[in-house]
Amino acid sequence: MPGAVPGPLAGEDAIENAAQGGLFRDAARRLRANRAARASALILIALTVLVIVGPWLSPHAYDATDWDAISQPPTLAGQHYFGTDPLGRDLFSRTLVGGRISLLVGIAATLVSLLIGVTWGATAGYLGGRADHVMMRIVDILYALPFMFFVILLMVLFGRHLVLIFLAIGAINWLDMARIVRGQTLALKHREFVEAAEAMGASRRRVLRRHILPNLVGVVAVYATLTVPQVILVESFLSFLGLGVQEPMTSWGALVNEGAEQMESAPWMLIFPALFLSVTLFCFNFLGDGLRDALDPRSD
Amino acid sequence: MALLDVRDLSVTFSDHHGRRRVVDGLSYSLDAGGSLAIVGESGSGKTQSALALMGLCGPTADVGGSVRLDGRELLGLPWPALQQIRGQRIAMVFQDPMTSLNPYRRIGGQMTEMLTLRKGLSADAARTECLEMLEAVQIGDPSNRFTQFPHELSGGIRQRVMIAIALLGRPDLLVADEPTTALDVTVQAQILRLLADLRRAMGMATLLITHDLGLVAGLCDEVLVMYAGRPAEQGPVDDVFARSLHPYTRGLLHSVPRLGRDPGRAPPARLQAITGSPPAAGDAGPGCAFAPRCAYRFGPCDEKQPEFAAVAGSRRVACHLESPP
Repeated sequence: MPGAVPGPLAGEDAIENAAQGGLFRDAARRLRANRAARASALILIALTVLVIVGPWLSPHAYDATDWDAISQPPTLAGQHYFGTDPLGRDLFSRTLVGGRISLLVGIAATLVSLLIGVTWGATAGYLGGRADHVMMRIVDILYALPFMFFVILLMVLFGRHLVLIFLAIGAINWLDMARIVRGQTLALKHREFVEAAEAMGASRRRVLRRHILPNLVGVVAVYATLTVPQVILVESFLSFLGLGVQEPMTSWGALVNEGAEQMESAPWMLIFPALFLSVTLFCFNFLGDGLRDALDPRSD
Repeated sequence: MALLDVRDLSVTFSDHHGRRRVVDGLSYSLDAGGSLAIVGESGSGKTQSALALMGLCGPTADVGGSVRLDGRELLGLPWPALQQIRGQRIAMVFQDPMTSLNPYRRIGGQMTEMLTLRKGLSADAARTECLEMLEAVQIGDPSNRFTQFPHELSGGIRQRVMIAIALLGRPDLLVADEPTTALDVTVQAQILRLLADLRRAMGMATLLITHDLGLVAGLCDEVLVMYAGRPAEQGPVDDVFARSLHPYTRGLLHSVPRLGRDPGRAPPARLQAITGSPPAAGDAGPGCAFAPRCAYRFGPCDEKQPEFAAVAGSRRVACHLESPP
């Protein structure tokens, strides 16, 4: 950025801290300075709090039928703020409860895929040669396995469980992550600073941890924030097939599906869950963008 | 005994195109505190020959011959054993200071790493030593530089930082791979003077890899000219410059422009370029690799590779003219 900002590095203390604290302190500062990212983060936090405490505050339980209000449009009078579905269930409660599932699946499955994918991809890329070959062929084999078959297999073996959804989605998503990370690592490996670190006698593990991984953060952050929405959508697809969460429990994806069927007679059933879903996806994308910029030390 | 003794070093890369020998039959030795320049054009194998010393040619390379450091064979050592040598016994300065530093880490972190990790110093002690070293390489305001990121420094400063990092391990041998190629001329001169001063002050041997004959004169005692992966000529710098034995060395010397001729004399002759271009690595035929471009080529040049033979005292040359088959 033009017009260098002397602020954060002024003062001896700040210099000491900055030298020790490293990349992340700086990144946090830059992220705060990015309006879109900051707003997105605040909205996401607010959403998270809302879906956690909201259902307790709502006057209606998410699975209770109100016989006096079947397919009712949003009103303040009956305290059905988002209206009700054809079974008389309060859509406000359902949207918030569904948000718990969607956010949880989105974030947990993304973390699973991050953890496995980055470790796998970076190791394969950095070691190269035969290790790389074997590791990436395993990825190819898993890639060839049909996703639905894999999920159904898991369900049959272990029964239906929320954790299995995380695992199933995470287990599929890490493959993409591993490929992306491996490609980046291959490019980084031949950069001179990696050679220089090796020539200094750094161990392989250290080169990987201190020189390769930090340089991957930008790509990984962006890809992870793109994965969250993707995972939320995959979950809705699973729910649609009856493999995800089951009635009366719900998720944003499931609500949007129901809403789409009733679009003409009860548009509120689509509008509210879709609004929550898209705001979340937008925020994650903005946040990912902001993260990528913030994590690049050259962006000051 | 020589500090570094390289015998018949070869580096071969194999891929699906076949095998390419990019370094072949390279032998030299370097005494403690001595200095040798390896000169050659791009692709002559000089960088690979330096990387081979530390086992850094990569998994696809097949390195043959012998590299002895204080009599201990380095080739074939496992990675952990090499780690003990890299940085502590042999350190390296790379060509491009713009890319040799990790853009995601502060200078301080990249410097102290060497000391805290390898020598077990405390963070404070490491910091002090690093700041001293930054001063030794004549960087002003070291404590400020310490907290900066590489992109905030100029090329010359970065190269000084790289040199400082290399020297932190107090190596016996400093390998400088084209240390000034990416810098502008005035900075080049400063860095070279710095390297020469540090070499004397610290008593370490220096192996300079360069394509620029002009650099060699000021910094090194010995020069080894490489062509197409093979040694062409070796000897004390002054002797080689005064009377080069190999046609390729002569060609190189003639193709360097010189400043400071007498104004009264005739304008300098056109620079003489060596005609043709060097063969791709490993593509040389049975004869002398330089023969197709050589003005003095005769019978045996196309049939037999010349031996890298000793002539006239401490000099060696690989040319049929000097040692007829």
